[in-house]
Amino acid sequence: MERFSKAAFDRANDAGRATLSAELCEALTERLKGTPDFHQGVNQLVTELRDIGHDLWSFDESDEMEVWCPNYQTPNGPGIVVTFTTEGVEVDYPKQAPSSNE
Amino acid sequence: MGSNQPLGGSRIWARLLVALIAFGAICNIAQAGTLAKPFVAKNSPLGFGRNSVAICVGVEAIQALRTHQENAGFLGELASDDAYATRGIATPSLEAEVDAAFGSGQLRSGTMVQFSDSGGALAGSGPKQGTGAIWYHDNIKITGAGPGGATVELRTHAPNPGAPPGSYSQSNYTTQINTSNGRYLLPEGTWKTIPSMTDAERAAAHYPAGN
Repeated sequence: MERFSKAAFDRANDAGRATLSAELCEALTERLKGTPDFHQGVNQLVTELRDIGHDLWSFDESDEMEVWCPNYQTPNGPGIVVTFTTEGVEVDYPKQAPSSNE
Repeated sequence: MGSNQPLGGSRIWARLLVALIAFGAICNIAQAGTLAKPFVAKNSPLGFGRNSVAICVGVEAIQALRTHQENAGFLGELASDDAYATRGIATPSLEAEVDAAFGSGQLRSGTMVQFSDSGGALAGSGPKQGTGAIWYHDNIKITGAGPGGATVELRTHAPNPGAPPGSYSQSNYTTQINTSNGRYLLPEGTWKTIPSMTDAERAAAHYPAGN
């Protein structure tokens, strides 16, 4: 997981971030498949992503879905948005920092 | 003022808004208008149909009303302003506050989203206990109601302990309206994915649910 650190995303250009996002998506999907409980599995993965520097907070949750994104209440800059579903995982990194509030 | 006396026009909307607080921001309302034109309850002949539902954007106003009413405590003698609240009627001072808030442009009223079963039978879980960090969910799915005919999920849930510290969603019930392909309805009526939202839009996508 270390190669998917926040620092790695920060260093990369748009193309590099797209690659990192795709590879992280694949890794997370694989990890989540092996967990017996969806929410516990997501919780573990989010903990690991936070440990490597990602600013992740819950945006939304249902029984089949969890979305995590950077802190929108006290913004710290752009970062990955991770959508976990029982079907798979999506990782997005905004091309433009969504820091503008208007 | 006796509770059975006819209410003045300005109080009718206030009373209805207070009623909305009790039932939550997601209400079975057949038509929502401006505050000067009171909300019309379901079963009204003005309704859009047997299974039509509209949701008002009075949620922001409701939040202001709630704060006021919490401060008022729904207590007091009939001679006091707060006596209105015990009867489910907004106080004159509350009306003035709401008028000022709407005048400032900080609050809006009207129909936020309106849907029916015309695109297919409504589905969803209804009220239920969550399996994750959020203990309570209430979901409905509306076929064909989203952009491009997408299915819309209208979901209200309990406070989200994983939301950012200090965010409204962390400590309050909120409603989210999204398509099955991840687009969320924002207050101004646009549908956006989370990555494409600003921070303010991410917060705004969590509508106060009138808890």
